[in-house]
Amino acid sequence: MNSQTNRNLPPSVRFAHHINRVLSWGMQSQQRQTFLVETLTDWEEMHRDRGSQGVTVRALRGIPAAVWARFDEDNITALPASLAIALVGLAALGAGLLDSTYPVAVRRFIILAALGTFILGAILMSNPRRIVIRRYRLPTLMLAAGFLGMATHMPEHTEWQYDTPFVDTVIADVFMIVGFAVVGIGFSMIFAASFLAKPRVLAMVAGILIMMGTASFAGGQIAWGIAAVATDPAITATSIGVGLASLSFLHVLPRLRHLELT
Amino acid sequence: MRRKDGTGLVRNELRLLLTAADLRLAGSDHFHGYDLARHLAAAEDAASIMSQPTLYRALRRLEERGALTSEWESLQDAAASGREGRPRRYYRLTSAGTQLAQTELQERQLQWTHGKLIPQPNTA
Repeated sequence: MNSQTNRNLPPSVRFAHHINRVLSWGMQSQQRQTFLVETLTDWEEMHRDRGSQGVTVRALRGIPAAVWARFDEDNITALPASLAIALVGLAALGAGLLDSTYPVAVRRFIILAALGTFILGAILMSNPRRIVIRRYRLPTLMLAAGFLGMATHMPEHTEWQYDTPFVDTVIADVFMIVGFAVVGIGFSMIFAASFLAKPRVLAMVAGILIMMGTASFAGGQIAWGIAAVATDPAITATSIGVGLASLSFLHVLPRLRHLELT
Repeated sequence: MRRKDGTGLVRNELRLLLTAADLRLAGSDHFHGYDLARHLAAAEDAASIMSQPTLYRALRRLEERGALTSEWESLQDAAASGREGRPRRYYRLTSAGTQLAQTELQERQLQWTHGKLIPQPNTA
């Protein structure tokens, strides 16, 4: 079976098929192949029925349905979640290494948390169907220390090096501090759970805390980035990038509950 | 999110199953996914056709329940139809599927009329 398009197919059919390829990314490979072959033949027939506009509209209309359906997949992999986590780590590492931006103390904790995120994502990618919790002790410890360190060493807006504070509100600070603290506590709980014989309950509670903290953190990062538009585009790009990556992480995190946890 | 085991059909699954029954009555013993969605839209007089993720998710669930079976056409038949390497998957309604549809309609006190699920008229 061939799920690849070719130039003989109308552009709208190829476009719709590429959307399905993106939406099905991370599905079990056999299931994905089946889905793509079935839907490609559908698009061809629909093009005969309803033309290019019909195909395009239906393809776009399928995006929310596909996103919703992915939450309920029986044969899911956590690969998108893993990649999202690893990407957040990379983005945050870049943020931490910007030497003209963050005070030194908090920068170390940013790097620690970013490395922990990246290692966690890498381990999850190596086995996206199962979480062997003891393998995550090192990254969760790094993440706990990193986020709690950021929460306690978060500079207030008056401490930034710029002559005029570009964040004249404490709301962004509070959002981020609360987010860091809650996420740090969550990862501490996962670290603790890795020593238990039955870690599932504690890990689930920790996961909920991490989601809440991530939501707060993401909101704060995006607000921070918007506030910095006129002052430092590098901060804007990094903060919004980290914020969006964190939202992506938040979006896929619930899927981890389907994984086997040992 | 994840459906509990033993729960009934969701609305879309029931509509597809009933449409499959209509198709069989009309003489189409087997059909592909788009065929089913197209007939459902036509029966409902709807402008839009069920989206693919919804459709194939429902078909997969119905197949897991034994309400439908499926088989791929041969690569030769696909090539003869101008779909080199892209065979169609054809579905058939099983007797278990027919029974399931009737049971669901009874339990939910619905009737299937002109492609629509509507409450059964109250009988005094």
